Amino acid sequence: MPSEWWTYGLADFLMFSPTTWWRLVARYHDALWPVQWAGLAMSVAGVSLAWRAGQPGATPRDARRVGVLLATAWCWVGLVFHAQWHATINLAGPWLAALFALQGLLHLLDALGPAPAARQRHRATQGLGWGLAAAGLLGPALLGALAGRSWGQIELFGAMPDPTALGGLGLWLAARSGRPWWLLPLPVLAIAYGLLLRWLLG
Amino acid sequence: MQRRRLLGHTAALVGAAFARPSFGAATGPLTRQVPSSGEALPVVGLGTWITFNVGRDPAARERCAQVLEQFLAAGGRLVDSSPMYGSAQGVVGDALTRLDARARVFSADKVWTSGDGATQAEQSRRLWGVQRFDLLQVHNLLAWQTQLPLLLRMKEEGRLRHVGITTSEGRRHGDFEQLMRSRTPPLDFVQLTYNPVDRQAEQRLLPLALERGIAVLANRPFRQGDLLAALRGQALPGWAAEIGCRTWAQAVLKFIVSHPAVTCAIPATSNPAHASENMAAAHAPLPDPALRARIAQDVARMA
Repeated sequence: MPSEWWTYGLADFLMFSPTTWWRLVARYHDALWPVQWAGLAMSVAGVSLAWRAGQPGATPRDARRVGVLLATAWCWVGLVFHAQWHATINLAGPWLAALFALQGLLHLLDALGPAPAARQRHRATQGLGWGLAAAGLLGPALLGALAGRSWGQIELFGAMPDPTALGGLGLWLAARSGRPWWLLPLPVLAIAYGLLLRWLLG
Repeated sequence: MQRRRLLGHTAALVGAAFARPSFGAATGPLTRQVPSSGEALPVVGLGTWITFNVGRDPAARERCAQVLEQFLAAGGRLVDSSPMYGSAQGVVGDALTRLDARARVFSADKVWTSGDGATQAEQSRRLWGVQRFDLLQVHNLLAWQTQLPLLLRMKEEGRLRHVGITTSEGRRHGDFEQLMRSRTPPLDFVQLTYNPVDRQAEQRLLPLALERGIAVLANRPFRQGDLLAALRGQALPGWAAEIGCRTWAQAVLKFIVSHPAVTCAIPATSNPAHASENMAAAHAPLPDPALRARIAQDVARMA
Protein backbone atom coordinates (compact mmCIF):
# COMPACT_ATOMS: atom_id res chain seq x y z
CA MET A 1 0.00 0.00 0.00
CA PRO A 2 1.57 3.33 -0.98
CA SER A 3 1.97 5.86 1.83
CA GLU A 4 -0.80 8.47 1.94
CA TRP A 5 -2.80 5.97 -0.13
CA TRP A 6 -5.96 8.02 0.36
CA THR A 7 -4.49 10.78 -1.81
CA TYR A 8 -4.31 8.50 -4.84
CA GLY A 9 -7.10 8.37 -7.39
CA LEU A 10 -7.84 5.17 -9.27
CA ALA A 11 -6.44 6.73 -12.42
CA ASP A 12 -3.04 6.98 -10.73
CA PHE A 13 -2.74 3.20 -10.92
CA LEU A 14 -3.26 2.93 -14.67
CA MET A 15 0.23 2.43 -15.96
CA PHE A 16 -0.34 2.23 -19.71
CA SER A 17 -2.14 4.31 -22.30
CA PRO A 18 -5.36 3.24 -24.04
CA THR A 19 -3.38 3.05 -27.30
CA THR A 20 -0.94 0.61 -25.72
CA TRP A 21 -3.80 -1.53 -24.42
CA TRP A 22 -5.64 -1.79 -27.73
CA ARG A 23 -2.43 -2.49 -29.61
CA LEU A 24 -1.73 -5.28 -27.11
CA VAL A 25 -5.18 -6.75 -27.73
CA ALA A 26 -4.73 -6.53 -31.50
CA ARG A 27 -1.25 -8.08 -31.43
CA TYR A 28 -2.48 -10.86 -29.13
CA HIS A 29 -5.23 -11.78 -31.56
CA ASP A 30 -2.87 -11.49 -34.48
CA ALA A 31 -0.24 -13.71 -32.90
CA LEU A 32 -2.72 -16.30 -31.69
CA TRP A 33 -5.10 -16.43 -34.64
CA PRO A 34 -7.49 -18.26 -34.84
CA VAL A 35 -8.08 -17.49 -31.14
CA GLN A 36 -11.10 -15.36 -32.01
CA TRP A 37 -12.69 -18.23 -33.88
CA ALA A 38 -11.95 -20.48 -30.92
CA GLY A 39 -13.66 -17.86 -28.75
CA LEU A 40 -16.71 -17.89 -30.99
CA ALA A 41 -16.82 -21.67 -30.96
CA MET A 42 -16.51 -21.74 -27.17
CA SER A 43 -19.31 -19.20 -26.84
CA VAL A 44 -21.64 -21.36 -28.90
CA ALA A 45 -20.56 -24.53 -27.13
CA GLY A 46 -20.88 -22.84 -23.75
CA VAL A 47 -24.43 -21.71 -24.41
CA SER A 48 -25.42 -25.13 -25.67
CA LEU A 49 -23.82 -27.04 -22.81
CA ALA A 50 -25.11 -24.66 -20.15
CA TRP A 51 -28.62 -24.98 -21.55
CA ARG A 52 -28.49 -28.75 -21.36
CA ALA A 53 -27.00 -28.77 -17.90
CA GLY A 54 -29.72 -26.45 -16.67
CA GLN A 55 -32.59 -28.61 -17.86
CA PRO A 56 -34.63 -30.89 -15.57
CA GLY A 57 -33.27 -34.04 -17.19
CA ALA A 58 -29.63 -32.99 -17.03
CA THR A 59 -27.07 -35.62 -16.08
CA PRO A 60 -23.89 -35.19 -14.00
CA ARG A 61 -21.98 -35.52 -17.25
CA ASP A 62 -23.74 -32.42 -18.60
CA ALA A 63 -22.58 -30.49 -15.53
CA ARG A 64 -19.04 -31.80 -16.00
CA ARG A 65 -18.90 -30.69 -19.61
CA VAL A 66 -19.82 -27.15 -18.67
CA GLY A 67 -17.19 -27.22 -15.95
CA VAL A 68 -14.47 -28.39 -18.29
CA LEU A 69 -15.38 -25.76 -20.89
CA LEU A 70 -15.35 -23.00 -18.27
CA ALA A 71 -12.07 -24.31 -16.83
CA THR A 72 -10.52 -24.17 -20.29
CA ALA A 73 -11.69 -20.60 -20.86
CA TRP A 74 -10.50 -19.28 -17.50
CA CYS A 75 -7.14 -21.07 -17.67
CA TRP A 76 -6.44 -19.90 -21.22
CA VAL A 77 -7.15 -16.28 -20.43
CA GLY A 78 -5.13 -16.50 -17.21
CA LEU A 79 -2.12 -18.42 -18.43
CA VAL A 80 -1.91 -16.93 -21.91
CA PHE A 81 -3.51 -13.52 -22.06
CA HIS A 82 -2.77 -12.25 -18.55
CA ALA A 83 0.50 -14.05 -17.87
CA GLN A 84 2.15 -13.63 -21.25
CA TRP A 85 0.60 -10.53 -22.75
CA HIS A 86 -1.08 -8.30 -20.17
CA ALA A 87 1.82 -8.80 -17.75
CA THR A 88 4.18 -7.16 -20.26
CA ILE A 89 2.53 -3.80 -19.60
CA ASN A 90 0.82 -4.22 -16.23
CA LEU A 91 2.42 -5.09 -12.88
CA ALA A 92 -1.00 -6.50 -11.90
CA GLY A 93 -0.80 -8.95 -14.81
CA PRO A 94 0.67 -11.89 -12.86
CA TRP A 95 -1.95 -11.45 -10.13
CA LEU A 96 -4.75 -11.52 -12.66
CA ALA A 97 -3.16 -14.57 -14.25
CA ALA A 98 -3.21 -16.32 -10.88
CA LEU A 99 -6.83 -15.31 -10.26
CA PHE A 100 -8.05 -16.58 -13.62
CA ALA A 101 -5.99 -19.78 -13.48
CA LEU A 102 -7.26 -20.49 -9.97
CA GLN A 103 -10.85 -20.07 -11.11
CA GLY A 104 -10.12 -22.46 -13.94
CA LEU A 105 -8.69 -24.95 -11.50
CA LEU A 106 -11.75 -24.63 -9.26
CA HIS A 107 -14.05 -25.34 -12.20
CA LEU A 108 -11.95 -28.36 -13.04
CA LEU A 109 -12.05 -29.64 -9.47
CA ASP A 110 -15.80 -29.21 -9.46
CA ALA A 111 -16.15 -30.93 -12.83
CA LEU A 112 -13.94 -33.89 -11.94
CA GLY A 113 -15.11 -34.19 -8.36
CA PRO A 114 -17.99 -36.26 -7.06
CA ALA A 115 -21.16 -36.07 -9.08
CA PRO A 116 -23.40 -33.29 -7.81
CA ALA A 117 -26.31 -34.52 -5.73
CA ALA A 118 -29.73 -34.22 -7.29
CA ARG A 119 -30.43 -30.57 -6.82
CA GLN A 120 -33.16 -28.11 -7.34
CA ARG A 121 -32.74 -25.79 -10.20
CA HIS A 122 -33.23 -22.27 -9.06
CA ARG A 123 -35.08 -20.60 -11.90
CA ALA A 124 -34.38 -17.04 -10.83
CA THR A 125 -30.66 -17.72 -10.54
CA GLN A 126 -30.66 -19.38 -13.92
CA GLY A 127 -32.49 -16.41 -15.41
CA LEU A 128 -29.90 -14.08 -13.94
CA GLY A 129 -27.23 -16.35 -15.33
CA TRP A 130 -28.60 -16.14 -18.86
CA GLY A 131 -28.76 -12.38 -18.57
CA LEU A 132 -25.15 -12.16 -17.47
CA ALA A 133 -24.11 -14.67 -20.12
CA ALA A 134 -25.75 -12.59 -22.83
CA ALA A 135 -24.08 -9.44 -21.47
CA GLY A 136 -20.72 -11.15 -21.23
CA LEU A 137 -20.69 -13.06 -24.49
CA LEU A 138 -22.17 -10.27 -26.58
CA GLY A 139 -21.61 -7.03 -24.67
CA PRO A 140 -17.84 -6.44 -25.01
CA ALA A 141 -17.94 -7.57 -28.64
CA LEU A 142 -20.82 -5.23 -29.50
CA LEU A 143 -19.24 -2.34 -27.60
CA GLY A 144 -16.08 -2.90 -29.56
CA ALA A 145 -17.89 -3.01 -32.87
CA LEU A 146 -19.79 0.19 -32.03
CA ALA A 147 -16.51 1.88 -31.09
CA GLY A 148 -15.17 1.00 -34.51
CA ARG A 149 -12.66 -1.53 -33.27
CA SER A 150 -11.21 -3.90 -35.81
CA TRP A 151 -11.89 -7.63 -35.84
CA GLY A 152 -8.52 -8.06 -34.18
CA GLN A 153 -9.69 -6.12 -31.15
CA ILE A 154 -13.16 -7.63 -30.65
CA GLU A 155 -13.32 -9.33 -27.26
CA LEU A 156 -14.71 -12.83 -27.05
CA PHE A 157 -15.37 -15.44 -24.40
CA GLY A 158 -12.46 -17.80 -23.94
CA ALA A 159 -10.01 -15.36 -25.47
CA MET A 160 -10.32 -12.11 -23.47
CA PRO A 161 -10.87 -11.42 -19.75
CA ASP A 162 -14.15 -9.47 -19.60
CA PRO A 163 -16.32 -11.77 -21.71
CA THR A 164 -14.74 -14.77 -19.99
CA ALA A 165 -15.41 -13.43 -16.50
CA LEU A 166 -18.92 -12.12 -17.11
CA GLY A 167 -19.93 -14.75 -19.62
CA GLY A 168 -18.35 -17.51 -17.57
CA LEU A 169 -20.18 -16.43 -14.43
CA GLY A 170 -23.44 -16.24 -16.34
CA LEU A 171 -23.09 -19.66 -17.96
CA TRP A 172 -22.22 -21.25 -14.63
CA LEU A 173 -25.22 -19.66 -12.90
CA ALA A 174 -27.46 -20.79 -15.75
CA ALA A 175 -26.13 -24.34 -15.75
CA ARG A 176 -25.69 -24.98 -12.04
CA SER A 177 -27.96 -22.46 -10.34
CA GLY A 178 -25.01 -21.01 -8.47
CA ARG A 179 -23.55 -24.18 -6.95
CA PRO A 180 -21.04 -24.72 -5.53
CA TRP A 181 -20.81 -21.27 -3.95
CA TRP A 182 -17.01 -21.16 -4.02
CA LEU A 183 -17.08 -20.69 -7.76
CA LEU A 184 -18.63 -17.24 -7.23
CA PRO A 185 -16.08 -14.90 -5.56
CA LEU A 186 -13.27 -14.89 -8.14
CA PRO A 187 -15.50 -14.07 -11.13
CA VAL A 188 -16.98 -11.18 -9.14
CA LEU A 189 -13.46 -9.84 -8.51
CA ALA A 190 -12.51 -10.33 -12.13
CA ILE A 191 -15.61 -8.52 -13.36
CA ALA A 192 -15.01 -5.63 -10.97
CA TYR A 193 -11.43 -5.27 -12.19
CA GLY A 194 -12.54 -5.44 -15.81
CA LEU A 195 -15.14 -2.73 -15.30
CA LEU A 196 -12.59 -0.54 -13.53
CA LEU A 197 -10.03 -0.97 -16.29
CA ARG A 198 -12.61 -0.27 -18.97
CA TRP A 199 -13.65 2.90 -17.16
CA LEU A 200 -10.07 4.10 -16.72
CA LEU A 201 -9.27 3.42 -20.36
CA GLY A 202 -12.27 5.48 -21.38
CA MET B 1 32.14 19.71 -1.23
CA GLN B 2 30.44 22.62 0.57
CA ARG B 3 32.15 25.22 -1.61
CA ARG B 4 31.32 23.32 -4.75
CA ARG B 5 27.65 23.31 -3.76
CA LEU B 6 27.76 27.06 -3.09
CA LEU B 7 29.43 27.77 -6.41
CA GLY B 8 27.06 25.38 -8.13
CA HIS B 9 23.90 27.10 -7.16
CA THR B 10 25.38 30.56 -7.44
CA ALA B 11 26.18 29.76 -11.04
CA ALA B 12 22.65 28.56 -11.44
CA LEU B 13 21.22 31.80 -10.13
CA VAL B 14 23.49 33.86 -12.36
CA GLY B 15 22.55 31.74 -15.34
CA ALA B 16 18.87 32.20 -14.71
CA ALA B 17 19.09 35.94 -14.08
CA PHE B 18 21.14 36.74 -17.14
CA ALA B 19 19.87 34.34 -19.74
CA ARG B 20 21.66 34.60 -23.04
CA PRO B 21 19.59 35.49 -26.07
CA SER B 22 18.80 32.42 -28.08
CA PHE B 23 20.29 31.90 -31.50
CA GLY B 24 17.97 29.01 -32.26
CA ALA B 25 19.02 25.43 -32.65
CA ALA B 26 22.64 26.37 -33.25
CA THR B 27 23.27 26.76 -29.52
CA GLY B 28 22.86 23.89 -27.08
CA PRO B 29 20.20 23.89 -24.40
CA LEU B 30 20.52 25.90 -21.21
CA THR B 31 22.08 23.89 -18.41
CA ARG B 32 22.07 24.00 -14.64
CA GLN B 33 24.77 22.59 -12.43
CA VAL B 34 24.12 19.76 -10.03
CA PRO B 35 25.44 21.46 -6.88
CA SER B 36 27.06 18.40 -5.34
CA SER B 37 29.03 17.28 -8.37
CA GLY B 38 29.20 20.32 -10.60
CA GLU B 39 27.78 18.35 -13.52
CA ALA B 40 25.90 20.53 -16.02
CA LEU B 41 22.48 19.18 -16.96
CA PRO B 42 20.19 20.52 -19.68
CA VAL B 43 17.14 21.99 -17.95
CA VAL B 44 14.67 19.77 -19.79
CA GLY B 45 14.90 15.98 -19.50
CA LEU B 46 12.65 13.06 -20.44
CA GLY B 47 10.23 11.13 -18.25
CA THR B 48 9.07 7.62 -19.14
CA TRP B 49 5.94 6.92 -17.01
CA ILE B 50 3.27 5.39 -19.28
CA THR B 51 4.82 6.65 -22.52
CA PHE B 52 7.62 4.08 -22.54
CA ASN B 53 5.59 1.23 -21.04
CA VAL B 54 4.75 -0.36 -24.38
CA GLY B 55 5.64 -3.98 -23.67
CA ARG B 56 6.98 -6.05 -26.55
CA ASP B 57 5.25 -4.08 -29.31
CA PRO B 58 8.02 -3.62 -31.94
CA ALA B 59 6.40 -0.62 -33.64
CA ALA B 60 5.79 1.14 -30.32
CA ARG B 61 9.36 0.44 -29.19
CA GLU B 62 10.63 1.89 -32.44
CA ARG B 63 8.57 5.01 -31.79
CA CYS B 64 10.02 5.31 -28.29
CA ALA B 65 13.48 5.09 -29.81
CA GLN B 66 12.50 7.95 -32.13
CA VAL B 67 11.36 10.00 -29.14
CA LEU B 68 14.71 9.39 -27.47
CA GLU B 69 16.54 10.17 -30.70
CA GLN B 70 14.82 13.54 -31.09
CA PHE B 71 15.39 14.28 -27.42
CA LEU B 72 19.11 13.55 -27.65
CA ALA B 73 19.49 15.36 -30.98
CA ALA B 74 18.07 18.48 -29.35
CA GLY B 75 20.69 18.24 -26.62
CA GLY B 76 18.71 16.40 -23.96
CA ARG B 77 20.52 14.17 -21.47
CA LEU B 78 18.56 13.19 -18.38
CA VAL B 79 16.17 10.27 -18.81
CA ASP B 80 14.15 9.21 -15.76
CA SER B 81 12.53 5.82 -15.23
CA SER B 82 11.59 3.31 -12.52
CA PRO B 83 10.77 -0.36 -11.92
CA MET B 84 7.26 0.92 -11.18
CA TYR B 85 6.84 1.87 -14.83
CA GLY B 86 6.39 -1.68 -16.10
CA SER B 87 8.37 -2.34 -19.27
CA ALA B 88 9.67 1.24 -19.57
CA GLN B 89 13.20 0.47 -18.33
CA GLY B 90 13.65 -2.28 -20.91
CA VAL B 91 12.27 -0.05 -23.64
CA VAL B 92 14.75 2.68 -22.66
CA GLY B 93 17.58 0.15 -22.70
CA ASP B 94 16.47 -1.13 -26.08
CA ALA B 95 16.35 2.41 -27.48
CA LEU B 96 19.79 3.21 -26.07
CA THR B 97 21.13 0.14 -27.84
CA ARG B 98 19.54 1.05 -31.17
CA LEU B 99 20.85 4.61 -30.95
CA ASP B 100 24.21 3.60 -29.44
CA ALA B 101 23.55 6.40 -27.00
CA ARG B 102 24.49 5.04 -23.59
CA ALA B 103 27.37 7.47 -23.22
CA ARG B 104 25.14 10.44 -24.01
CA VAL B 105 22.41 10.02 -21.39
CA PHE B 106 22.31 10.94 -17.76
CA SER B 107 20.63 7.79 -16.46
CA ALA B 108 18.18 8.43 -13.64
CA ASP B 109 16.25 5.53 -12.18
CA LYS B 110 14.67 4.54 -8.90
CA VAL B 111 14.56 1.91 -6.20
CA TRP B 112 10.98 0.91 -5.54
CA THR B 113 10.76 -1.93 -3.08
CA SER B 114 10.54 -2.58 0.62
CA GLY B 115 12.60 -5.73 -0.03
CA ASP B 116 15.99 -6.28 -1.63
CA GLY B 117 16.87 -2.91 -3.15
CA ALA B 118 20.31 -4.03 -4.28
CA THR B 119 18.91 -6.82 -6.44
CA GLN B 120 16.28 -4.56 -7.90
CA ALA B 121 18.86 -1.86 -8.67
CA GLU B 122 21.04 -4.43 -10.40
CA GLN B 123 18.08 -5.65 -12.46
CA SER B 124 17.32 -2.06 -13.43
CA ARG B 125 20.94 -1.52 -14.42
CA ARG B 126 20.82 -4.55 -16.71
CA LEU B 127 17.62 -3.38 -18.33
CA TRP B 128 19.24 -0.03 -19.10
CA GLY B 129 22.52 -1.69 -20.09
CA VAL B 130 24.55 0.99 -18.32
CA GLN B 131 27.71 0.39 -16.30
CA ARG B 132 26.30 2.36 -13.43
CA PHE B 133 23.47 4.82 -12.92
CA ASP B 134 24.12 8.54 -12.80
CA LEU B 135 21.28 8.87 -10.32
CA LEU B 136 19.23 6.45 -8.24
CA GLN B 137 16.30 7.73 -6.23
CA VAL B 138 14.14 6.21 -3.52
CA HIS B 139 10.80 6.15 -5.32
CA ASN B 140 8.02 7.82 -3.33
CA LEU B 141 10.18 7.35 -0.23
CA LEU B 142 9.25 3.65 -0.13
CA ALA B 143 11.29 2.02 2.67
CA TRP B 144 13.72 4.95 2.58
CA GLN B 145 15.14 3.96 5.96
CA THR B 146 16.59 0.87 4.24
CA GLN B 147 17.05 2.02 0.66
CA LEU B 148 18.66 5.42 1.27
CA PRO B 149 21.59 3.93 3.22
CA LEU B 150 21.91 1.32 0.47
CA LEU B 151 22.16 3.99 -2.23
CA LEU B 152 24.64 6.03 -0.19
CA ARG B 153 26.80 2.92 0.22
CA MET B 154 26.64 2.28 -3.52
CA LYS B 155 27.76 5.86 -4.11
CA GLU B 156 30.66 5.52 -1.68
CA GLU B 157 31.74 2.38 -3.51
CA GLY B 158 31.69 4.20 -6.83
CA ARG B 159 28.77 2.13 -8.16
CA LEU B 160 26.47 5.14 -8.36
CA ARG B 161 27.07 8.81 -9.01
CA HIS B 162 24.18 10.61 -7.31
CA VAL B 163 21.53 9.75 -4.75
CA GLY B 164 18.03 11.19 -4.46
CA ILE B 165 14.45 10.77 -3.30
CA THR B 166 11.18 11.27 -5.14
CA THR B 167 7.60 12.18 -4.44
CA SER B 168 4.77 13.57 -6.52
CA GLU B 169 1.59 15.62 -6.34
CA GLY B 170 2.53 17.28 -3.08
CA ARG B 171 2.70 14.12 -1.01
CA ARG B 172 5.07 13.74 1.95
CA HIS B 173 6.57 17.20 1.68
CA GLY B 174 7.05 17.12 5.46
CA ASP B 175 9.21 14.02 5.23
CA PHE B 176 11.07 15.55 2.32
CA GLU B 177 11.84 18.67 4.29
CA GLN B 178 13.09 16.61 7.18
CA LEU B 179 15.39 14.55 4.96
CA MET B 180 16.61 17.59 3.07
CA ARG B 181 17.52 19.35 6.31
CA SER B 182 18.90 16.49 8.31
CA ARG B 183 21.27 14.61 6.07
CA THR B 184 24.93 15.54 6.01
CA PRO B 185 26.23 15.70 3.42
CA PRO B 186 22.91 16.68 1.81
CA LEU B 187 21.18 14.48 -0.75
CA ASP B 188 22.27 15.11 -4.31
CA PHE B 189 18.77 15.28 -5.80
CA VAL B 190 15.13 15.55 -4.89
CA GLN B 191 12.30 14.96 -7.36
CA LEU B 192 8.90 16.52 -6.82
CA THR B 193 5.93 17.90 -8.71
CA TYR B 194 6.21 21.51 -9.79
CA ASN B 195 4.32 23.37 -12.53
CA PRO B 196 2.28 26.60 -12.83
CA VAL B 197 -0.73 25.05 -11.06
CA ASP B 198 1.13 22.81 -8.59
CA ARG B 199 3.28 25.34 -6.78
CA GLN B 200 3.28 23.98 -3.23
CA ALA B 201 7.01 23.27 -3.45
CA GLU B 202 7.71 27.01 -3.73
CA GLN B 203 6.77 27.44 -0.09
CA ARG B 204 9.52 25.45 1.56
CA LEU B 205 11.13 22.72 -0.50
CA LEU B 206 12.49 24.75 -3.41
CA PRO B 207 14.05 27.43 -1.17
CA LEU B 208 15.44 24.66 1.01
CA ALA B 209 16.96 22.93 -2.01
CA LEU B 210 18.71 26.18 -2.94
CA GLU B 211 19.90 26.71 0.60
CA ARG B 212 21.26 23.18 0.98
CA GLY B 213 22.63 22.83 -2.54
CA ILE B 214 20.30 19.99 -3.62
CA ALA B 215 19.42 19.53 -7.30
CA VAL B 216 15.70 19.44 -8.12
CA LEU B 217 13.92 17.39 -10.78
CA ALA B 218 10.40 18.62 -11.52
CA ASN B 219 7.97 15.82 -12.42
CA ARG B 220 4.41 16.02 -13.78
CA PRO B 221 5.14 19.29 -15.59
CA PHE B 222 1.95 18.84 -17.61
CA ARG B 223 -0.03 16.90 -14.97
CA GLN B 224 0.26 13.88 -17.22
CA GLY B 225 -1.25 15.83 -20.12
CA ASP B 226 -4.28 17.16 -18.23
CA LEU B 227 -2.84 20.67 -17.93
CA LEU B 228 -2.12 20.93 -21.65
CA ALA B 229 -5.52 19.45 -22.49
CA ALA B 230 -7.16 22.16 -20.38
CA LEU B 231 -5.16 24.87 -22.19
CA ARG B 232 -5.61 23.44 -25.68
CA GLY B 233 -7.34 25.69 -28.14
CA GLN B 234 -6.73 28.78 -26.04
CA ALA B 235 -4.47 31.37 -27.62
CA LEU B 236 -1.13 31.97 -25.98
CA PRO B 237 -1.02 35.36 -24.24
CA GLY B 238 1.34 38.03 -25.53
CA TRP B 239 4.11 37.20 -23.07
CA ALA B 240 4.66 33.86 -24.84
CA ALA B 241 6.30 35.50 -27.84
CA GLU B 242 8.49 37.61 -25.53
CA ILE B 243 10.06 34.44 -24.19
CA GLY B 244 10.15 32.57 -27.49
CA CYS B 245 7.29 30.13 -26.81
CA ARG B 246 5.21 28.77 -29.67
CA THR B 247 3.24 26.27 -27.59
CA TRP B 248 1.68 25.97 -24.15
CA ALA B 249 4.04 23.07 -23.40
CA GLN B 250 7.04 25.34 -23.93
CA ALA B 251 5.47 28.10 -21.83
CA VAL B 252 4.78 25.71 -18.96
CA LEU B 253 8.28 24.28 -19.13
CA LYS B 254 9.91 27.71 -19.18
CA PHE B 255 7.91 28.66 -16.09
CA ILE B 256 9.19 25.56 -14.31
CA VAL B 257 12.85 25.76 -15.24
CA SER B 258 13.09 29.49 -14.63
CA HIS B 259 12.72 28.86 -10.90
CA PRO B 260 16.31 29.14 -9.66
CA ALA B 261 16.05 25.97 -7.59
CA VAL B 262 14.92 23.72 -10.45
CA THR B 263 17.69 21.78 -12.16
CA CYS B 264 15.63 19.90 -14.72
CA ALA B 265 11.99 19.33 -15.67
CA ILE B 266 11.08 15.85 -16.92
CA PRO B 267 8.11 15.88 -19.31
CA ALA B 268 7.13 12.56 -20.88
CA THR B 269 5.89 12.13 -24.43
CA SER B 270 5.19 9.40 -26.94
CA ASN B 271 5.50 11.85 -29.85
CA PRO B 272 8.99 12.40 -31.29
CA ALA B 273 8.05 15.89 -32.50
CA HIS B 274 6.96 16.85 -28.99
CA ALA B 275 10.31 15.68 -27.65
CA SER B 276 12.00 18.30 -29.85
CA GLU B 277 9.37 20.88 -29.01
CA ASN B 278 9.88 20.34 -25.28
CA MET B 279 13.65 20.64 -25.60
CA ALA B 280 13.17 23.96 -27.42
CA ALA B 281 11.94 25.32 -24.09
CA ALA B 282 15.46 24.81 -22.74
CA HIS B 283 16.66 27.98 -24.45
CA ALA B 284 16.76 31.61 -23.42
CA PRO B 285 15.03 33.86 -22.82
CA LEU B 286 13.50 32.58 -19.61
CA PRO B 287 10.85 34.61 -17.78
CA ASP B 288 11.96 36.89 -14.96
CA PRO B 289 10.18 36.70 -11.58
CA ALA B 290 7.52 39.24 -12.56
CA LEU B 291 6.67 37.36 -15.75
CA ARG B 292 6.70 34.05 -13.87
CA ALA B 293 4.01 35.41 -11.59
CA ARG B 294 1.93 36.48 -14.59
CA ILE B 295 2.34 33.12 -16.26
CA ALA B 296 1.17 31.30 -13.14
CA GLN B 297 -1.80 33.62 -12.86
CA ASP B 298 -2.79 33.20 -16.51
CA VAL B 299 -2.37 29.43 -16.54
CA ALA B 300 -4.38 29.02 -13.33
CA ARG B 301 -7.14 31.14 -14.77
CA MET B 302 -7.22 29.54 -18.20
CA ALA B 303 -6.68 25.90 -17.25
